[in-house]
Amino acid sequence: MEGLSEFWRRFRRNRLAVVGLVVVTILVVTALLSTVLVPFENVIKQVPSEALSPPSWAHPMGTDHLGRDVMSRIVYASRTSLLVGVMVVSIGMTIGTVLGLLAGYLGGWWERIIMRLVDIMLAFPFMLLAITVSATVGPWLLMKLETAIGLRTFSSLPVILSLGFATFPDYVRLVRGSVLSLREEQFVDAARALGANRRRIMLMDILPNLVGTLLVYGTLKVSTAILAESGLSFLGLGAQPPEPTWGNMLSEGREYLLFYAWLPLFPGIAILCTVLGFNFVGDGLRDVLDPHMKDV
Amino acid sequence: MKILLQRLLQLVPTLIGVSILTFLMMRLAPGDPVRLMLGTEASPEAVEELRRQMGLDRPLYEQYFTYMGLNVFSGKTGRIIDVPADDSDTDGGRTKLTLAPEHGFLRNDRVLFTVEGEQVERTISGRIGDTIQLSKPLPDGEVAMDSEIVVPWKRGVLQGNFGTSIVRDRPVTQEILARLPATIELALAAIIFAVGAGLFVGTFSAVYPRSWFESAFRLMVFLFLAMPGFWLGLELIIICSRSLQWFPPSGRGEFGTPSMLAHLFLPAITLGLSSGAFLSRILRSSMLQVLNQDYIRTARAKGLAKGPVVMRHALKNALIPFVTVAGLSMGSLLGGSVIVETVFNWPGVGKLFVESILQRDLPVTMGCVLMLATIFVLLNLAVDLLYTYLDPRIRLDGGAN
Amino acid sequence: MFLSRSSVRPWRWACQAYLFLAVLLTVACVPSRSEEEKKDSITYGFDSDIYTFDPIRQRMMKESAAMNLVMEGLTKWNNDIKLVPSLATDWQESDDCHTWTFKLREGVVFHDGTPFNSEAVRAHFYRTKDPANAATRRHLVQHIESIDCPSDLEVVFHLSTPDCVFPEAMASTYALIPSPTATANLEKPFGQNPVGTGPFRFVDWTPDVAIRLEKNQDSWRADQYQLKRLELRPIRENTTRLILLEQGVVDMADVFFAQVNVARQSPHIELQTTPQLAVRYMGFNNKKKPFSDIRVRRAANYAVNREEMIKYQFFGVGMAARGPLPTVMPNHNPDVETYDYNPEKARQLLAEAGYPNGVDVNFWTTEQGEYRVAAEAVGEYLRQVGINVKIVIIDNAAYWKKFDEYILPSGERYPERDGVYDMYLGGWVGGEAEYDYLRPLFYSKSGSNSSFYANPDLDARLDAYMGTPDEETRRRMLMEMQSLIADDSPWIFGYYSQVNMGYQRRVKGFKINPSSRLFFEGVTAGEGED
Repeated sequence: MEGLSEFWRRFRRNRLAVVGLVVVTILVVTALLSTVLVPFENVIKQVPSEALSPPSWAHPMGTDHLGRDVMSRIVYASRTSLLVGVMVVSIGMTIGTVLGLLAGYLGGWWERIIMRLVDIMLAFPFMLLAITVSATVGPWLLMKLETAIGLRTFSSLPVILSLGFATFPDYVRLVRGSVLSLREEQFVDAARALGANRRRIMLMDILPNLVGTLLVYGTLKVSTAILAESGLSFLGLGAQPPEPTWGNMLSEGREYLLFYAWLPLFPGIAILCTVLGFNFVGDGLRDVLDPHMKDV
Repeated sequence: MKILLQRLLQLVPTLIGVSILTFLMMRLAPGDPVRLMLGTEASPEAVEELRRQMGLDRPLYEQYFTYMGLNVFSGKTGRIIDVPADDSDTDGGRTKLTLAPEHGFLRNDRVLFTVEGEQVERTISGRIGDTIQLSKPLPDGEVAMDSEIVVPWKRGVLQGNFGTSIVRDRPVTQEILARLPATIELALAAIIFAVGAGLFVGTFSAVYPRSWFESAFRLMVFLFLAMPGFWLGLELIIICSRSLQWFPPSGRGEFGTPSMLAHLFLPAITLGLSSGAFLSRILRSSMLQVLNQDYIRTARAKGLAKGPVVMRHALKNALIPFVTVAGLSMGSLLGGSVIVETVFNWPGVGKLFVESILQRDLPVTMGCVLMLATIFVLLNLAVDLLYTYLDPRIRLDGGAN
Repeated sequence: MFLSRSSVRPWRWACQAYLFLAVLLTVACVPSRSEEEKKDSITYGFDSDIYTFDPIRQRMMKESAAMNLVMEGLTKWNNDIKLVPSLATDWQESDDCHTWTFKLREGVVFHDGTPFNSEAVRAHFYRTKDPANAATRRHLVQHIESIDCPSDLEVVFHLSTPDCVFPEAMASTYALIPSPTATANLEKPFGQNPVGTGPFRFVDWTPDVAIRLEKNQDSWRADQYQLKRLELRPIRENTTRLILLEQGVVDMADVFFAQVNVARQSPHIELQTTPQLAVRYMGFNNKKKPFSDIRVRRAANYAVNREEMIKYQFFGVGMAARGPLPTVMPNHNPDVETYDYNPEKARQLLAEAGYPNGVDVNFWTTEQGEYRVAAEAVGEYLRQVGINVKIVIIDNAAYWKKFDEYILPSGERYPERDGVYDMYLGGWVGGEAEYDYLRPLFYSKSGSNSSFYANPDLDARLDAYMGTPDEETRRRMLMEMQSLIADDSPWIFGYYSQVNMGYQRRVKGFKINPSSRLFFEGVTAGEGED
């Protein structure tokens, strides 16, 4: 408890971080309550005769090209967009942390093979890899997964899997670097002297020390994932309708940009705020948890 | 020199890995290139035949080696089994040959014939066991039956041949090389913009922290880092091109003309803004560090004005991380160019890549990915080397971490 | 914080440099072409890309448009959808449509100087037939058994099966005649170096940027053309293309349906529209429940309010479909069973079929253009009567491919694969010949029949159609087949789309064509905007 209030005191000093935290909190609450706030009926219901009406009291953000209420869709999409962001980071972070721990602590062949793989993955510019993976490996993974569990999953899963796959090398590097320095710390020596085995040291001693760094980095990467999803949507490789994401709403809206400028505006602003929010929170966390970490 | 060589050698396994990974990803892609070529109405036999001709029925590792141009499994020599009478048809003087079946299928492939001890190269297209036409007649002389024919069949990536585009029916290498200058031009313009903007904003905000324009810049920096690139691009097109009519909304101007600059402006800004924003943050933080160091304080205490101090000392010392990050962001620019080129109809490799991947034109996709990844890797190496040069404290062979 | 004088100075140069650069770039704005160059030349911005000029490899619609400028076929369709002579002046069938003799036009020369004669015609079709060339339309010339060249100006096709509409087929893009000298030159792939007899001659091609054509002064119909230069530019982004048109960087451009209103209100642009020779439909999987039941298919047809959809969601661009053929076609049958919006009837039919509480189906579509809009709009109408649609977006290339993956080498379908989709969104740009719609889309063994529609009665009629020499009988057969199909409703007959062409005022005499081809006969381009 002591630590938490200390944490909060230091976090509060960064005003932007607090703003970011408010934005993110609103976002998370909206996402969690989205199904309560707007019935799904409102999200998909089309009133063709009201298509492309400008913002009004009935439709505070106007209606889209099919006559759906944009605000309902934006609120509902917060769920998918946030899910994409968080899932991508979780997948990338999980794979990356496991591999990074292995590489950093075990060393030797493990390290050589894993780091070589990471080098190879990092040889692709990020967007290039993301697009390639979501057009090739993504659908394949999804197909395998769906045949394995015998179910159709939700439509943004290929994007999530692809982006997760494309981002894991960053975490491997980060984790390995930290492990290398932590390995030499006294407490690890102490644990070793006490006879702890390697797995125990990795999980119980080293991993907890990485949480701060990973939290900072992961928060910042949520933004990257959301931006990347919108980029993929623009190319037609994003999540599928009728399930809206901000990315595909923005991308759909672009054909109507000339006459109906508000249509891409609201999802654009939603993305902007979310990304800003996560970036601010990430910066704030960094100041508190990991003051030595470089600008990433 | 030795370091350079050593580093280049270290790249080899990475590049091999890159090529294997790319190749595997392409094979996992849904969609069948043969079906794509032949259309929906093709007969199954035709599909099977073309699949065989394209070597897609071979095992995966063999396909990989063939693609890379390592002639381990193919490229065997063969023989001419028949030379029909030359003047039998209307094709005036064109040599016709029947090739032995072991050649498989040739599709605009180059073949080396040995005619009376001399090697002659010709392009041929044709089917196994069939009579095929040569692009140019073979030189006069005895085209010996059973004379050696070397089929450099699948000159691969290593020989600079990325295969033939399925959709465009053109060699991939040619397609990529035709677009590479445009991409480089855009990336360079973007990095120039990013560096310029980064220097300007970064130094300003470091020298005058907590001033109103520092806040304004900071806000802008955050905004640009948080905007989806294609949205920014489209808004810029609407504002600067449609409403204000300052810049053309798309396409590329002729090299070396004012129109080149005009066409470059919007895409370069769109591409460079986020890098510029990032660079300015880097410069600001590293300059703040330098400015807080003792020797700067000493200089200022001695009465030197702020500006000269900044110029002479702080900036120079803060430049090292800046240059590194600038070099590294060239890579992210290459990645970002994929979307920016699509928005601005910029005839570069990125656009080619997007179109090819949406059309499942896998040879082109693979070529683009390999090409961009290689450039990216080389750029990173160059940045590393530059870094060593700028900061002699770091030695590459020493245990720098 | 105040800025003291001394502290500002070192930064002045930076500010100045930036200002200078900005001014320089602003001055160097949109380059205008010289007036001289502008006269009689047209730049056309179009919405997809062109990859090849080789008629045997054509896949994209715009490729067809471009090829038809450079090359000509034996026959062609005019603006009123009538078959007229082109490179052939006259044709004659004999032997119950097993043999067709074409008289060729005299004195026609390919752009490269090769004379146009019967050998050139023969060379082209043999090249198309040769499996080594992997022609996309090879199956369409499969029934050409042999070609005789009794004289330079006479060519005789021997067909293995009767084909009484063969001259119509000769107006297709795959039947455009390329120069035999050029196709034989493997060093210069024909797809990138096309040589034909057409009114325009190929000049050069910068991939992704522009294809330049110039007038062929030696064309046999050179006097019909005033244009000297033609530039084709692929511009994918719809918004950018429209802006370029507004600014006069391109003189003509395809206008995306959602932007037709923008184009209409723009002071610089003229807009011409016409119903397209194409039909958009939502195909059912006729072999699989629930759509194997005709009541469910009809229910779905009654559920869609096409008029409302077109008026509001398509900006009035397009026309509600009645039956399988576009309304613009001369032999369109207006008296077929129509399915006007009637949700009550739809619900009732659905209940009769055993789905009083609705039914879940999936609906495949692609991202491309208006497909997604149409799929979402139709999906919503279906949902309102209880057909709960789950839209699955498949990317373009995989989309078209998924359909034919389910065909066994014998031509049979994988029975278990029938389960993959329940509905799909289709579009068919069949050109001017009715047969090119009905046969590929509804014949039970056709590879493009992705609705798995099989009606032995229709199959028999389609088989008989080709062998019927009498035009009036054929016409009647077409009418009957249309009613038959409309009754069975293997699709939701969606809408007929529209060709929207915007152009600068200086372009005069342009007449839009319902096929997506471009005709520039009599078109002139003035110097300035006026």
